[in-house]
Amino acid sequence: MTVKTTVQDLQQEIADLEARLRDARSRLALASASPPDGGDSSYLPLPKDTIPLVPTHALLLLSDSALPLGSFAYSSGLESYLAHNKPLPRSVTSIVSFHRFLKLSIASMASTSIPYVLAGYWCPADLETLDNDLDASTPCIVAQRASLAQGRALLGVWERAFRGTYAASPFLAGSAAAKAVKMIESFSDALKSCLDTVDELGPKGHFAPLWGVVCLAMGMDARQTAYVFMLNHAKAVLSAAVRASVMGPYQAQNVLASRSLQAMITQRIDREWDTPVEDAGQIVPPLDLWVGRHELLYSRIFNS
Amino acid sequence: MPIKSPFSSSIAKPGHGEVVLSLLPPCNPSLTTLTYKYPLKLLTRTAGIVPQAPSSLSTSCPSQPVHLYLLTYGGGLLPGDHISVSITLDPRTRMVVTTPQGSTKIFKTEPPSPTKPIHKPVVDKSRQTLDVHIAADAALCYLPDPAVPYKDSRYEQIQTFTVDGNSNTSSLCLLDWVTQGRTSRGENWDFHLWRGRNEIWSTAPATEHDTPGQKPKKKQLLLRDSLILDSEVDLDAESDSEDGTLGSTRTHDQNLIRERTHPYGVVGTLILYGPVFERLGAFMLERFTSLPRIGARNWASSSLEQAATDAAPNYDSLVTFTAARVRGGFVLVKFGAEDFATAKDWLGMVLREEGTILSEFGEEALFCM
Repeated sequence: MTVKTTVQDLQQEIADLEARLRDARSRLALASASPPDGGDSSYLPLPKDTIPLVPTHALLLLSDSALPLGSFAYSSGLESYLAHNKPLPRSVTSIVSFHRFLKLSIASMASTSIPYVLAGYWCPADLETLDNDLDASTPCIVAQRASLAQGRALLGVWERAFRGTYAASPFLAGSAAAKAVKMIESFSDALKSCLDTVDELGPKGHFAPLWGVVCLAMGMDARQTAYVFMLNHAKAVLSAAVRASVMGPYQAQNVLASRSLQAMITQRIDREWDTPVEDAGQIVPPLDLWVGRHELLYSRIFNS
Repeated sequence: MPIKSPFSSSIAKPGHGEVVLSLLPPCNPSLTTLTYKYPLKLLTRTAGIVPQAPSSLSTSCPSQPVHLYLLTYGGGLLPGDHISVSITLDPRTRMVVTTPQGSTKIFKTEPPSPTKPIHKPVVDKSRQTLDVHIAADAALCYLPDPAVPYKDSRYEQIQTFTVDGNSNTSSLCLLDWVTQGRTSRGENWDFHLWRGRNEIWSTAPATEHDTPGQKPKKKQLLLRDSLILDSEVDLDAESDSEDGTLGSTRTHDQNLIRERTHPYGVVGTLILYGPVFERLGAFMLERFTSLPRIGARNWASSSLEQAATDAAPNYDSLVTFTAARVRGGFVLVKFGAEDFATAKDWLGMVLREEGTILSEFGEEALFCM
């Protein structure tokens, strides 16, 4: 896995490491000050103000498929794609056809959303502008609905579940995380006070920028934030494929675990790493058509 | 006010052009500014430039549309060409913009030859920028021919439209489409890069929850339609690499653009906005929602094998399209078709059938259809 880093990235990493070093030193001092009294000495109490969090804990929470975002309700155009490419030519099996879709879907998701995820992560203060711009840049109302539902669900999960732990004491990421927490709160207030109509141009709650800000607030690094975003998308598409009886659950896990999927996600993230949000755009034009025409399907099992 | 010399050009940069359309009393559209410089050429179908300040006399009659023809010498863009056109439509004016030279040809970029190492860092792109300001009650109808990017070409276009955010009475009809190239020469999405971005901004926020005293009114992005067709062939890396590896990377690369646009030979977007195109937008939506359901079966017929979609092939079944009313009252139509002729016939047929363009802008607005 090739890792691109920016100056900002490194600065944050250094800040993290320094904070952890300070923390470890203070605990060492604490431990050496109180002499060991027995066999339990290897377990040292943590200071009260640090939440005993393994850094990967947030990562595991956010990558969990049980995270209640309702992502399972969306196939990101897979259902419509299958209907539009029916019947398949003899030479093409349904698995081959699905792999084509997965590749296109990941490429498209990366080019349209990763710049917004990362912008949300780097500049949480711009959250409202990013939300407006992504809303303006999503031409397809079906995709828009999916993004809004998941974004608002994420906001809900944050408020009802994560806030208690992560907003109380921003532990590792320091000031950036504290700012992210503040931005989420104010955005959430703006969203609630805004009339929810189609023509209203107020805050909407799109998924990608919110994902970036929430990940920042939970102390994830930028790379993880983008990677988990893409992996969750791949998981949702594969889960939809299982339910649309394209493949079985073991085969789906096989695809998820595959080296080629990892390479694909990494490659797409690298490509969009430095893309400014103004240059985000659709690179798979038929996908907009398939997703948009989901509404025309005679029978539907997914919301997109 | 001194009369401007027709020979002096205020435009310094080549490829730049500027048009300002104003309405003179009682209802007389006139171009107060029309300048351009090689390789760009702008032609209009009204009389000469009338150097006179427009009056604020108001009449209810819609003004006559003025035709503007965008021309480039040679009918296309070479690498390094940068066309930049700025159009301002004053209140209650109407303009039709067409490309009478046929499709905008994007000529090819010199491929990096393995024998001659190229030291230029980036291969030149052709670029075209269009910046349009549409005032209240003004309308622009921009139905150009599609862009035809030749093999190995690199092109970027940015079209920015600013509408009046206070009255919401600006109108815009914008078509942007791109084809696979010259099919007669076997070209099938063989270019390197085509990047098209259409942005519509509003001069003032539509929601008026700001304090009235607040002076700097921020522009708000209403709509951004961005399409990137990139072969993702790294030209720099290739020219740096040695001859042997160059050949092998070339053959391994399948055509990404072709893969991503399959099965279409032309893709495009039609954006409709404002009171003038309200009816056309509704018509497109109606047309989309009344399409037959995909995968529906005709239960009445005895043979269940025959899908309802198979019945009666018409224009709408040859073109795959979606229409949606998105935020701010925009109607966005996206379409894909097998080839240019199919898309052109479909668009021409739909726009003629509905009739707004014909009655408001005349047959010539559909020149490219």
